[in-house]
Amino acid sequence: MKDCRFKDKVIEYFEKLMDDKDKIVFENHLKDCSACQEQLSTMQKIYEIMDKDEISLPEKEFFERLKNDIRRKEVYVKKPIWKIFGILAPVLGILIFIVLVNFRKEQSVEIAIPTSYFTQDAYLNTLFFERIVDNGIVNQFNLLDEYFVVDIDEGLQELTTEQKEKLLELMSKKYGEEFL
Amino acid sequence: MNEDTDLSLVRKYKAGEERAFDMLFEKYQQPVYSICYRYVRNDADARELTQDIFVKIYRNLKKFNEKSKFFTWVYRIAVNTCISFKRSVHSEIVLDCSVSNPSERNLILKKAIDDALVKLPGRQKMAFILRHYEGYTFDEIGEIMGISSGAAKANHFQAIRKLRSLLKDWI
Repeated sequence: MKDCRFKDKVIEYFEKLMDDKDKIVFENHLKDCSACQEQLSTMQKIYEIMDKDEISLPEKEFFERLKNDIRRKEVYVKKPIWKIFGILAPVLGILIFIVLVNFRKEQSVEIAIPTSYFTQDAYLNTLFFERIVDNGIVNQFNLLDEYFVVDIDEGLQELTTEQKEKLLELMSKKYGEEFL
Repeated sequence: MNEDTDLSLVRKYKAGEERAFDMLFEKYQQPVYSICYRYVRNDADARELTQDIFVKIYRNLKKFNEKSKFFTWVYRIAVNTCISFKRSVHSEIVLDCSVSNPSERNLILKKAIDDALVKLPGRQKMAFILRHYEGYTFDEIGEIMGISSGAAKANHFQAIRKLRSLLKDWI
């Protein structure tokens, strides 16, 4: 077989890939070549064996389930990010607003308000001094003035009564119960 | 269902008709599973592959540009998914070709075919499956596998030569 010049033609012949001219030439050769005949017979046997390779298809339910699963999965996957963001955006917005408002409140109380205004604001004075029992504490409070950053002078004047009360409460928390 | 029907269904699906996908799925579910099974030689992996392939088809169907035939596109996805699949480890059974009981012999022969196909390189095996079991021409196989017709033929011939050697005890 090794020496047969047609050894590579057997598969081609078997697979019906030859044109008519080559086919006639090969068939003439085949009549007298035992090696090619044996090769051809082997090919037929291989194909017979491979034809026995039957497969069992999965049950119908598998394909039905698969079809539905694919769609379900894809609906989840295909949901555009902007749609998800559209749902989350209001929630995120509210959260950010709450955080910012709280953060700003803390800042406005602790940084932007000059302590000197505590003694100059009539309503705060009333609230503040009515509760003070020791003048020393007032002096201590006034001394604290230098530790505050004063950059918004109007800040205190713009506060509502409620905010001023809140301010006092926060100051007392920060600098001790003795302020009240 | 011919290529025109396929294209018509694809267009309907693109236009929002979800039922068109169902019809395409029903047409290709068995051929796709068969290719997968013949490639990986076990049901569990074949099911997993079939699922992966249809997810890809569903996900990309709207991008199908009609430059190739629809079945070529489907099979190309199937072939690429199979070839890149990392198969599970299966224990090998020692074959005994001398068993005389026909049913037992058939089982062993089936295992011999399994083992022979598993030993074939991916592209050779796929060329053989597409040619022998699916009956595609080498031009079509080349298009599906993204190789030339000649390369498809060479892969197929190599597969047969190896099968001849691997199954010599059964010939």
